[in-house]
Amino acid sequence: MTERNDIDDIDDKRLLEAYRALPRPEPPTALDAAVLAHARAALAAARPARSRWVSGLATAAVLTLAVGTGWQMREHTLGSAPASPIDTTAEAGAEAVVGAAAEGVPSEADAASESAANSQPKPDRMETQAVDAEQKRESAVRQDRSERQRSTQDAAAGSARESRAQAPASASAVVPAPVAAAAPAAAPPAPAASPAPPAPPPPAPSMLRKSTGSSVEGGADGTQSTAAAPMAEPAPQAGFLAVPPEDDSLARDDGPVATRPAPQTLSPLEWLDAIRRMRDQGDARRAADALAQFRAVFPDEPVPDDLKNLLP
Amino acid sequence: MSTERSDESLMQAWIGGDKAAFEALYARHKGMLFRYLLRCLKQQAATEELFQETWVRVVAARLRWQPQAKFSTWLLQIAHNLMVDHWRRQKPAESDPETVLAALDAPEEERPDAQWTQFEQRRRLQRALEALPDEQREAFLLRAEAGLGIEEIAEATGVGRETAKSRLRYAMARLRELLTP
Repeated sequence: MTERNDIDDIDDKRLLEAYRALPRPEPPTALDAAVLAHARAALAAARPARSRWVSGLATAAVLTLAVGTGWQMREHTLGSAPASPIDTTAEAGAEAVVGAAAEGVPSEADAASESAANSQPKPDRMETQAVDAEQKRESAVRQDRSERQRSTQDAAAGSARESRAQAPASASAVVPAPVAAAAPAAAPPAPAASPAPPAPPPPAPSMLRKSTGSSVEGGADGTQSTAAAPMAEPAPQAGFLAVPPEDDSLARDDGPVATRPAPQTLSPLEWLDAIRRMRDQGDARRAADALAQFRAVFPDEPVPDDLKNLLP
Repeated sequence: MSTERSDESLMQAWIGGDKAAFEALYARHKGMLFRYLLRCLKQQAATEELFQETWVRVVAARLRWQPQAKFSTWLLQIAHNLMVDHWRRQKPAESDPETVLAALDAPEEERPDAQWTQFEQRRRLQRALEALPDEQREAFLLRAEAGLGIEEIAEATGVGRETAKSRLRYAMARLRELLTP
């Protein structure tokens, strides 16, 4: 209100009307054009700057999304089961892991699995890894098999010891055979005048089946000969060389059986059983030699009727 | 008329990139600004120079413009500051009001039978305006040409309200004296 009153007091309407009646000059057209051009130029210069800012921000956002998505996909790909070429490696690694977990060989299998998971191998490398993993798996399986055999053998050894304690004659008759067969190749022949050998070692696993069995006449089958391989250790008792060997090829190279000292630890029944086995295998000559040696060692023991035909 | 956009709306649209908004704003205020400068400076060349420089300043300072400020006041404030700088550079000694009034009076007195025709009235007003001190003339022009109130004149010229009011009052009185036969 004060403003209105003040301006009303000051204003002179006649004077203002006189002023409005004055000529009203306008700026020249060239000046208008210059000003408008300057304003347009300023506006145009501002637009690209904003566009650059926006485009830069958009580019950064797109890059961030792309990198993030790629990283996520990479983790997802490595985390899940890979496709065809990777499958081999992954499966091999997984089998190796399973096998190793069951067989107590974790380190190599874990390494194979980890290498398959942490890398995106090329096909060559993947094949190599697959082969390695397969080899490791087979090795682990073999090891597992041998361990199972060992455990079975240990259990059988325990039962064999028990059975031998109960029936030492039948058990000890067969045990030395493969040892005697392997001994010549590993150790020099013992002198004939060597003292009596110590007690026989624990029976060989392959022989334990026979010793626990009711008959020794089962003969050497494939399993027996294969299982005899680990028995090719140095024979501790040279005196058992007189026992008819299971492996004939080795036994025959050792010269005449009769020249060998008679094992004092064998009972007459065991001796006769061995002779019967040689006869049953068709080696009558060796059976006859063994029988002659038996008669020399046990002159008082009667020769069973079924073996009398071997006598000279 | 009522649908005409305000100066502030046009200014905001222009800041947002609307080229046409500035053209409308310019068309609305260019005459007023030009006349204000011309009658203050009394020189066509200086007027055109400061007129262009005023709009260049407006373009450059558009992002600092506050929506609550009246555009015309802001525009005239820029022009005023440019004029002050111009006056400081070349302050004419002949601005003595007495000298101007003497010059205005002489022709009238030389014409005893002169009649107050419309043409003569305009001519006398123009000469009376030119004879006013710069501050009074500017205050009158801001009121008569731009329609500013006392507060706005004070704001545009950077002085207190009472100073602006006093300048305007003195300008009116002096023009009345000069124009009264």
